[in-house]
Amino acid sequence: MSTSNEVLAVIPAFLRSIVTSLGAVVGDTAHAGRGAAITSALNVAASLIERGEAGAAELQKLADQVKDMVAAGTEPTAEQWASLKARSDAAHAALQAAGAPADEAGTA
Amino acid sequence: MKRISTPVFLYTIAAVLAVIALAALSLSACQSNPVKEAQTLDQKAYATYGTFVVWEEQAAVLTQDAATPQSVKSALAKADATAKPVADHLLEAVKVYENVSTQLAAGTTTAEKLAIATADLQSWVNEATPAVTNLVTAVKGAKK
Repeated sequence: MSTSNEVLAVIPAFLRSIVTSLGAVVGDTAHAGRGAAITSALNVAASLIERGEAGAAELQKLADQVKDMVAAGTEPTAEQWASLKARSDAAHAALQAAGAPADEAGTA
Repeated sequence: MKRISTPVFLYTIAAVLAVIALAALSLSACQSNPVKEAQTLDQKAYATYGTFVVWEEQAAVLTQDAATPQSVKSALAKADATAKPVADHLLEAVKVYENVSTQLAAGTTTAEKLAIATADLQSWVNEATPAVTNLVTAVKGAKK
């Protein structure tokens, strides 16, 4: 069980290193638009892995926090709730600002 | 140095990498489920809201990426605009539930009021779950 978790943890970093290496190779051999398209595809793959890692790490942190509560027989504190709320409000503001059509965002 | 010169080969590599990346993303996303770890209603509410926040933050990061098309940014903002009020209602229900629990412990309210607050909180947890799922779907869709 722990072995498979260790493997899962290593895979994203391994893939990212492959993507980065290949991105460099493709960049060296790029020709006109095709090279740029391939580089772009590789960048998307790298970005995917990065977001997957970040999201999974945050979910793991949250899961560990909940596990600790269960083990200690406690409930979330007011500070923990406030922290989540502040993070949500910040993300929400950023999302809504970025999601607004360019003409609305730029002419406010 | 030998140069890779076959575009088809490179496209294939890129496609295979994208598939592997998606698989890795799915595996890593399935690794931990905070809601499954929770035991009490309060903990489940916290895990649900926390999961929403994690995905909301990932969506926000995606919208800051210059490579993300405006249409995708707008779709993410729309999914968040739908989910956020539900998540905030959940938060309000938690406050009520905790206040009533404290009052009951102090003997200043009735078990009936706690039952009402508990049912209300449970209903918001239930309501928030699909809202969070929709946001997660939107974020995953944006990554493709």
